[in-house]
Amino acid sequence: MRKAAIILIAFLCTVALLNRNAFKDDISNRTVVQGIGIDINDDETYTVTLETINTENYSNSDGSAKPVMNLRIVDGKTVSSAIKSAFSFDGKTPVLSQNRVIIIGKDLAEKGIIEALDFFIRDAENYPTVQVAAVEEKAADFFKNASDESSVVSRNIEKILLTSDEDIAVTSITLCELANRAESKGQAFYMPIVSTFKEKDKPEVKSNGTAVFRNGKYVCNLDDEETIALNFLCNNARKGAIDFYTDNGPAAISVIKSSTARSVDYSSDTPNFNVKIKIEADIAEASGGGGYNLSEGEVSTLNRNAEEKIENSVKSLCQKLYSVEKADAPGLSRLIYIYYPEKFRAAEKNLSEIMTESHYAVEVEMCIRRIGQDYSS
Amino acid sequence: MNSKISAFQFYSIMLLTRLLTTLTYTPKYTEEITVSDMILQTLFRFVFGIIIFIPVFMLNKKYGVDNQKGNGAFGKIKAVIFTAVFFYFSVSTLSRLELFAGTVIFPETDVKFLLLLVILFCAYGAYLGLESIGRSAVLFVTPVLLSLIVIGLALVKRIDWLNLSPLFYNGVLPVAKTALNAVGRTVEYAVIAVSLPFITGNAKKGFFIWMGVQTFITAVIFFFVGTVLGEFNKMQLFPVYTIASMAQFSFFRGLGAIITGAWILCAFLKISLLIFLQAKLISEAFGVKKITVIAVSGVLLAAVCLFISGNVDRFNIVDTSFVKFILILVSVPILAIAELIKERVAKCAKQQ
Repeated sequence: MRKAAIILIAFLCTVALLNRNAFKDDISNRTVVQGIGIDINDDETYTVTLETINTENYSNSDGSAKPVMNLRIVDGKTVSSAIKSAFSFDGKTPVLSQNRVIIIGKDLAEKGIIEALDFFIRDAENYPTVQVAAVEEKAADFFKNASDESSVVSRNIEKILLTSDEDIAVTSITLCELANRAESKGQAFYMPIVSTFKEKDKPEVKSNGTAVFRNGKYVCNLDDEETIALNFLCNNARKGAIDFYTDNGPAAISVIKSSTARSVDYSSDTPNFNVKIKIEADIAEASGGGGYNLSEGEVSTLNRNAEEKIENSVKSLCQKLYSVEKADAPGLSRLIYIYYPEKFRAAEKNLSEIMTESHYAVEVEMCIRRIGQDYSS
Repeated sequence: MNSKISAFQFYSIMLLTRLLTTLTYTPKYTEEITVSDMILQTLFRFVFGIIIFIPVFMLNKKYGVDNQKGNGAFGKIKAVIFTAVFFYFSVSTLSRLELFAGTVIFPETDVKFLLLLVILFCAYGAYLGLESIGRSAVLFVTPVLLSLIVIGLALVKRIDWLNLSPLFYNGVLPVAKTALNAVGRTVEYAVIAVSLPFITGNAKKGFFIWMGVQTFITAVIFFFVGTVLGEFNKMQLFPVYTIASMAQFSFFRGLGAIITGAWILCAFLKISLLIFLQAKLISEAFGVKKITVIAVSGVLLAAVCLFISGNVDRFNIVDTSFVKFILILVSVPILAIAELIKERVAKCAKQQ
């Protein structure tokens, strides 16, 4: 046993040496990167914006506080050379492992993002769980508009995107998921759009719909309603509020739980996609207002109206994505690949035409769990 | 040096060392097959593994395990072949460790010092003997398996069933080829073939249990790699490390450090065992002192690994699956068949 203990100690010594930071510099000699924005210029060079934490001298000589965050904006022929050049002037070592988000500028989204992401996939310091989002301006301008020197914009964006589990109006995608979908057979992908707004003169960020990509290039935006439909279609919808109209005016439900089953079958050579959405929800706000007691018939009408609203949104999204934009962002063609491999093999070259001709049946089954009060008699 | 080891201790070592090969696999070994076939090929490996081991079992059944001890010219040739195989796999294991440390842990630091330190510890482990390595393995096997379970549980919510693929989408041949490559990377077959004389208890039953357990664990690991990463697994140098770094529960994030620990631990045991076996075989066949063989093997290992260190072309030469497959084929079934023939000829000659 003594000898086994010696081997254990030897092992622990080596593991201690294998600590990622064992041979690295002191924190003040390093620059912790929290967010990276990428833009492409007319001459095909990249502009990279790095949001970094100020790791030294928290106050100026006059005692006033120094900004918590710094922005570094640099150009380079490649993303990696731009990032390296951002730190060449102060000799600090960049720490990319703390990066929370990659922001894609509008021009780059239109020209294609896959090449620009190669560095993040290849470099071991970047985590595959880093969030990716798009902006409708240059990423550098976005960071400039969103920064207020006292908060970390990238962390705020990450927090918002991670609420996609709790908020059906928010989508999110990690670097790993994006690369997987871009490489997978027949798949396009989507990513959240983030934007800035002013709240009491203070810049804030918010999720603002979804951007859809095909072959790595931006093709269209989805608004909030379409984003909710996308989340239902992709079985990503969990919780959140949905507004809809009834004969008596606007109403809202609060989704408690949702699951989507997707399947495909064939009639002759055309695939039929069946989407069955099951929702458990509370009535958050009834038409007419005033907190009056709802009758059983009124609850049933609200239920039916909400089901129709979701069903129509999902159908219209399928129409938009498959017939107009020809982008399989929800990944339905993957079902053909898994369940009908021979048909997929035959259709692989003209998959977008096949998906356009396909039938999309959507069925929504909603169960109202609570109405906030008892039924009226 | 003549000490024996229980079947449980021995197969604990084998489980951990084979686990190392799975944890450190790179996608180039599975690039021809789809995600579901990656999981399925573990069953092919199981079958191929048993097939190549049949001659060893036949040899032991007919002439007993003591027959494995190196006597005469044949014994000397056998000792040299096995030593060469174990040395080659030691180099391959260490180079892979160096690639991992140099790529993932500290990419901007020279890891040669670490490499030398690992060799030193492993040589000492080999000097302590098989019993110590076996006891360490028994000590380590539970935490290693528990840590894998923790990582697996933390990854459950990241599973995407749509990442699975139809079975045999690219045909059966690529799946069989991938499984054969995996058999070639399993030096444990050679280790078991040469270690049978030192195992007490039911070594044959242990072999089948070990085959079943390691096949199951490998299939589960590939399941997580495939369903969590999808096509992204083919873009990663070490996909198992990647999924571990994606695992999170509560406030614990990036469990890659656990995999790193398990990896180093298994590497320690594997290299110590391989050096020990080289010393054992050479000292028995040629009467050289074991400490001398350990020292020579350690120095040679350091020299070769330092030569390969930091050069991906040299690493690829050492890591060739075909060479490994030939080495396993020669050292396990072919050598056993040759010995069966030799014994039969000797028996016939005696009868005449």
